[in-house]
Amino acid sequence: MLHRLTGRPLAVATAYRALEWEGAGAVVLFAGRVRPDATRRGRVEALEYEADRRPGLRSFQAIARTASERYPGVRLLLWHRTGVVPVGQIAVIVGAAAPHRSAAFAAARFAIERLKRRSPIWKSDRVRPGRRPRPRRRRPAGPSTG
Amino acid sequence: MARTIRVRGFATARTALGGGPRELPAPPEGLRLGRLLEALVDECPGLGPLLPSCRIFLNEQLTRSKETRVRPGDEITLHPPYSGG
Repeated sequence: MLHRLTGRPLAVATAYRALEWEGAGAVVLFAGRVRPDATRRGRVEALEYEADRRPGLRSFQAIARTASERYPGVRLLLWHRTGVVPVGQIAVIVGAAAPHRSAAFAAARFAIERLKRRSPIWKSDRVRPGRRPRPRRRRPAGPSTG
Repeated sequence: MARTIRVRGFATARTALGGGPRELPAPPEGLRLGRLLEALVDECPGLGPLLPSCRIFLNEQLTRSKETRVRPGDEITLHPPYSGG
């Protein structure tokens, strides 16, 4: 299955098997993992994702359709977790399989950027309260993956 | 026969709606989406600042016009800015 919104853990090896095909000389897989970022409220232990399921899956189909128009011959995989995802686990996998590497890299990059902007998925952080982190010159905008 | 319009929100929009879906009364002929949203903000003032950044879906179809007619039995879904990935 190439488009999934699931509460179950995501595995790169399973994604690779779902994506490969005989003519795919290149397979690119991106896995976004939950980071233990320090926030003002404490350290991130997990991110909780919610999605509007049917529009979400439709958005994945639209991304794959556009990618296949821009990069002919590419097969795209879009998987996203829902529910609580602990630090270190994979929240999202995007993969692209194509005859050549340039299209596979470009399509994977296109797909993850578009998913972040256009797919109805939201995250909130779960933190472990603790000492306030020392201020840094540049702090990430918020807890995130990849 | 339905006499209400159901409104669902996700993430911050759900919080602003009071934590769950709301049912708003509607006349049989329906009403403009803009009017419905005004009534919603009257009930849930916290929604006011969020609405300009929300995508609004009518029966799972994105709608951009406040002139769209919404009828009893319809469902409105509010999507705040996405943050997946």
